[in-house]
Amino acid sequence: MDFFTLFPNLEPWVANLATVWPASVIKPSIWMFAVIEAVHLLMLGLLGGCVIVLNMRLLGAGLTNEPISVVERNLRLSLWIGVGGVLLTGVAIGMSNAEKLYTSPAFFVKMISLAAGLIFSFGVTNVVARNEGAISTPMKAAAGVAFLLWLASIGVFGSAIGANPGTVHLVVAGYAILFAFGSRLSRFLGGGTLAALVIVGAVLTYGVWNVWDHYELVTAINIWFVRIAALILVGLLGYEIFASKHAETSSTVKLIALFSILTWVTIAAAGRWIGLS
Amino acid sequence: MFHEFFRWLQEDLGFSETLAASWSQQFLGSFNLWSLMEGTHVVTLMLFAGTIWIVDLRMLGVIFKDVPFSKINDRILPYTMVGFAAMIVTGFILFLAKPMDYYHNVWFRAKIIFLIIASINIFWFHYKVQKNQDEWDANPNPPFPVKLSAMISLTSWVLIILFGRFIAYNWYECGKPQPGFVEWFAECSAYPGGVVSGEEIFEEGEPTEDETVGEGAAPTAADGVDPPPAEPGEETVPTEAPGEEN
Repeated sequence: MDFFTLFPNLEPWVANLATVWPASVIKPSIWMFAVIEAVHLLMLGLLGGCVIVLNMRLLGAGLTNEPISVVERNLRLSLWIGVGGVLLTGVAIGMSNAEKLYTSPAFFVKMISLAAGLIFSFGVTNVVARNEGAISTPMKAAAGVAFLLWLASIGVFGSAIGANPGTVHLVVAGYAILFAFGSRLSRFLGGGTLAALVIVGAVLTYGVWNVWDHYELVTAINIWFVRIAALILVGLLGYEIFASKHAETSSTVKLIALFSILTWVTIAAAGRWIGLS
Repeated sequence: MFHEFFRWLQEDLGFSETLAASWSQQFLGSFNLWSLMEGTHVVTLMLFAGTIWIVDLRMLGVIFKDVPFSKINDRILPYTMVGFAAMIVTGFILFLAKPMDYYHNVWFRAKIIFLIIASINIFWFHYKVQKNQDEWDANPNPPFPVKLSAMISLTSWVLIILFGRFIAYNWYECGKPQPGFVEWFAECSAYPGGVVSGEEIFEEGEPTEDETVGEGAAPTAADGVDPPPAEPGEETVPTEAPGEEN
């Protein structure tokens, strides 16, 4: 699935993007694309840090010594600068590379996830945080829409040949979040599971069966290992969120905070896998 | 200085006759392993760089002014440390994919220099500046040494990320005509292909293809190792079509 499949008639418009400003200036330059893309990474770092710190606070971890609204207020400007930066630089490099992105499943995943991320972080978690974790029904509805968009995007991500290894980043990020806010039991089970799957998967892929001789078998094994890891992760995260004694925020808000982080990780991972698929 | 060690690491160690590739070269051409390492390295930036900059901005008195520095630092530092560990581990593993080529890469060398600067800054802050933390902890406008440390940190990590991204571009590659400073800084004289002048290129008739860097190149199908669909570690796009992403 990609934008070309959905909107095949956009081809002339896409082709034209590279001829208008700023792409018209960026494309002929040897260094401009590189610099703008590097700034994209810097802004991603800033945005990501704010998203992680705020949402971990909602999950009951990190800056728990400060009220949620104080954390949100202090991160607000940095969050906006970060997202403004990634969007501006993203449009610039996107236009310069439009034809490739048009047929890229990874870019499609990134854009659907981006819509979800913007709703989560600039429509829901910011408002919830300002209200010390209280959530209204319209906010829940908005979060529901964002969640469905994100689910759709990872559905595409997981089935996109060439790009689907990128879903590993998502699962690993999920385990990292689990370690950050979970109980000792979850960390033990989660850590053990992840370590076992990585080691066994690596041994099977590079040791037992030479991947170049058994490409389809090894690919299938890898995909199933990621799915198993994801399934166990869902179980452990669900346990931590619904069995949590930390009552400052509701389970719904904790779920939204979790998916907010995972959505931005999806955007970043899919973005990297544009170039690897 | 260490050229021969890194050359051995890149071309000799674990060399397999059947694959016609060393362990380093097998890793570079591996099925997803390199890509996953590199993807992890980049995505972890959100955790590492982001949290470091939040603490730096507090040290500059820009954000969380009403919150004591210790409250921010003590709670966020664990996240930064986990991020840092992930960056170092994945970064080291990635280095092993092309150790000789990276060793002679101007951007890689600049990145390492600023990593050292950033590390010295961390030690200086922890062992010197933080000694009298109680005096300025609650101060919304910390003293100059604290702000200086924050500026060095911010600047260093920004440059580290910029230089890190530029490593993949071959503008200043050894084996092509380069300014004298580049050839000195990257020790091109030790690199296969070495120092090349413009006149030599024109005498040969055909300019060197950017994809075939020399003996240190990643294995291709001709070497008996089928490259993955997207060749990791080789950013050929900037040379073929400037401005386009691979």
